[in-house]
Amino acid sequence: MSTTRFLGIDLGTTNSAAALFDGDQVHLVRTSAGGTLTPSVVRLDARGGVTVGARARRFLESDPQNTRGEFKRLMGAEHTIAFAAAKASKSPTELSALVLKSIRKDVEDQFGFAPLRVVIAVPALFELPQSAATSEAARLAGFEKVELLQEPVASAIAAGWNAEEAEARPWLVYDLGGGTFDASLLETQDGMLRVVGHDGDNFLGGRDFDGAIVAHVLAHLRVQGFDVDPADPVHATGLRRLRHLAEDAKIELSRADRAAITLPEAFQLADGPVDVDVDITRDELIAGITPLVDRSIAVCLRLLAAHGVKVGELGKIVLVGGPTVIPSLRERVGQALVAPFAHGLDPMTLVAQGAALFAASAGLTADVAAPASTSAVRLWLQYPTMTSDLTPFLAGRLLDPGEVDAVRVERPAVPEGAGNGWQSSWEMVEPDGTFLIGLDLRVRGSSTFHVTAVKNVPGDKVDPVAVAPCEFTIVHGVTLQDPPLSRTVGIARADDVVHVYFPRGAPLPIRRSFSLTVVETLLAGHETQTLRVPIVQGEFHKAHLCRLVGTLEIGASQLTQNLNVGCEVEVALEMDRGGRLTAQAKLPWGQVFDEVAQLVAPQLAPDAMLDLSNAIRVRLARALGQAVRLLDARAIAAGNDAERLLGEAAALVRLARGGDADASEKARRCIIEADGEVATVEASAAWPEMAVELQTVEDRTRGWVARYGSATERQALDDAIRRARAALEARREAEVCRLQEVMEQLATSAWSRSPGAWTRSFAHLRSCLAEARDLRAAEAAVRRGEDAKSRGDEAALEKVCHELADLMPVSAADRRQAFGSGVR
Amino acid sequence: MSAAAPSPFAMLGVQPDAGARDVERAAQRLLAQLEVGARSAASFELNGQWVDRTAEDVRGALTVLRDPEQRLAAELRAMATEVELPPPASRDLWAALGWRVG
Repeated sequence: MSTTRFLGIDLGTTNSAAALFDGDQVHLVRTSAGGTLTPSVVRLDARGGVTVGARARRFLESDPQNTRGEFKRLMGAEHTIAFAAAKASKSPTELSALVLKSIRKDVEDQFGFAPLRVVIAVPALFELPQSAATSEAARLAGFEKVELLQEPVASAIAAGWNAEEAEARPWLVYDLGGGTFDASLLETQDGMLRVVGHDGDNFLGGRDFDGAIVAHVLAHLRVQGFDVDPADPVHATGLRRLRHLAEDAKIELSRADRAAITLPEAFQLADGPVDVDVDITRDELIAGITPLVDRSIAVCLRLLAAHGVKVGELGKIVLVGGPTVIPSLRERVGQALVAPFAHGLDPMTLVAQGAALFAASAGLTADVAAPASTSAVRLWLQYPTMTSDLTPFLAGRLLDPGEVDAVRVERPAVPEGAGNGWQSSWEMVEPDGTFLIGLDLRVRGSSTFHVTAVKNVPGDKVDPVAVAPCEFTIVHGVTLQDPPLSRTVGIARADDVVHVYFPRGAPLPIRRSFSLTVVETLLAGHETQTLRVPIVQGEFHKAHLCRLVGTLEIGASQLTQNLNVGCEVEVALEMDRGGRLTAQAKLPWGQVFDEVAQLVAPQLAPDAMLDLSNAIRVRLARALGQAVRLLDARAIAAGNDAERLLGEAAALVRLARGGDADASEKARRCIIEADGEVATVEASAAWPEMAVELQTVEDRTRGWVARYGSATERQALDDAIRRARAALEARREAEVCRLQEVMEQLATSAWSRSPGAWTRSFAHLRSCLAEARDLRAAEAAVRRGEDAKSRGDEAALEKVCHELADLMPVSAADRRQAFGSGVR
Repeated sequence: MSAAAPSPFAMLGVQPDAGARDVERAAQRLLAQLEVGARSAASFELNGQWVDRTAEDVRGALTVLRDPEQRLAAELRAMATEVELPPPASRDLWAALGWRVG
């Protein structure tokens, strides 16, 4: 095995796995017990001793007060888990860190080194707080650098790596783990794997299948006259033990027709203890899980429809996750999606394998290389460690300038006949010490290149120079475009509109900076005044419909001077490849604020969640009425989904009152999703208005472009109008909005060339002077505008118009909805 | 009138009709060069003026060109390249002109 190794970990809800890629082969990491799976279970004993994995799992049923599992679903939430004997509480992040630490030790035992860098797979729809918690867990476990990768993407990379031939049609990864379901649509083009789209359910997994079995047992007890209320905290322990037995029964029913669930004195009722002694048949299990499987199929069908892929057009389905071994699930999914399953792939370790392969493509070596010889000239090389491009580029820089004039790389011939050798031409080093060389890779394998450097121009007397590193390796295979961001990230403006920074699908890492205008004055030194810049995640245009993931706060007490209304603040957001978000606000005089509060999913008390549900129901009733009047089938379907989600939320809130933290988190998600569905119904009801608006935009932009636009602008406008009408017909709202923006830009360009354009707009804004939020600033702007007008300075007049527009008032209601945003 | 931002095609040094593979290769080359600090990649000439280029700019251009809708809009704008397009006016300005805004 070469010394360049890449580590990938699947940190699962029920089980975790790890794999190491050495450039040629993927090796599964084995536990001390010899298995390839580490149960995501942690036990703390009275002495504070920690047990992780299979040994801990043995105590799940007998010692549930001190043994915990399935904490992945609570990552990023404000929640701690108590361990009675140790008198300690641990956050889900700390427990995950213990699992990762155990895996790290297994790598060291098996491969002889303690890994420092790793790629960890997370669900595709993990939100920022959950991703941040996972990165923190890796740091606590001793990893110096971690990148996060979406689980379905990891599966796809592994499936693509193992595929004997490329798949021309799109394919689907169906990833049903213990706690989450992810569906991803992928395509392979020119050897490059591209995630076309993904969808999923953060609260659908094998655990819910266990829940169906528990429901069967409780129903059986009710028939016998024993009514066990799952919302009663008194039964929490019994329910937990029952759930573990349900999981065992589920696995048994993959082989047998019947499984027994026996638990003496499972519950304590008023009349005394109740034993559980219930059988469940395979047919009863199928009946219980079918609605859940259908829910996952609905997600897949939604994903296909969103990307114009019809059922039957898929090339294959890759199954990932323990629950996918259930025969009835495979049968139902296969029938619904009409596509074959990929064979020869281990659904339990595929994600870990893909994560290791991705670590290679990201150049994230698991261990740190030995320092180079001090006598050699040091090089800094940049190249893709894994790529589907057979002719990638190598960029390099001399760290000791002046010692080398030209560089060449060579790929030696391989004796076994896997292709001839290759050699580049001599590339001269630039005056800044850099060089660029186009490479030639071996097909479907690893190519090791030797670097040769010389002093003096080649052709004359050549003086070879030792360099370090003098060798590097690139693997040719199916690779992934940079991991795409799964949800749009932006700033909530005071007018309740999202200012998008990172659109969904943007490759990571990414950094954007925009100037935003402050909507209220902060007095330097004021104890309580704070300007909030809310950071949101989601696909909605309206900020309040998105998820608040953090708030950048500017405290007046820390200001060195007043921050006046209308001032511009430069707000920069940055997200690294692992999905870690940082934010910074820079004030006009250079003062910087970078403290992001609340990068944690806030908990909602059960009563608060019920109030929120009721408010959503009122909106739904109104919007649904309009949808029915318009006979809008799509909106009615979204309304039905919202109703279902609100019903689920109500049942979950009831369980949450009984102390079920998982139910509380799930209820919160259901309410947010229901809110989103209601927004869809409301948007659909507004569709006729969108058609009218598009016509208005078309009429006005044609007028300006026809009079003042160039021939090319007129042609561009015709194209944009044609495409916007097609998008309207197909109800592609985002595309209609984008094309309207293009049309308005073309019109702006033409309008601004019209005589007196800015003079007219200045006259209108001046007439609204009394409404300005800062009258003094507005009056000063008007004076500058008058001066510019008298000088005939259109450019200065334009600037004044923008200033006056920024001073016009913001609606207080909009600001409240936008999480109290202080910028726009 | 303020200068327009360079098109994503110009940022990557490819033509508006460049295929996906050419776009990816151009981005890989530029990102590798920018990472090692190659001055030749840190700026490019556009309409007689030198424009700075950073890794963030390259990734931003790649994002646009990988998204079918955004690429379409970029191609349409590229058709009107002989005219400098100003940034869109604020919605308040449109309203000030008496135009209906959403």
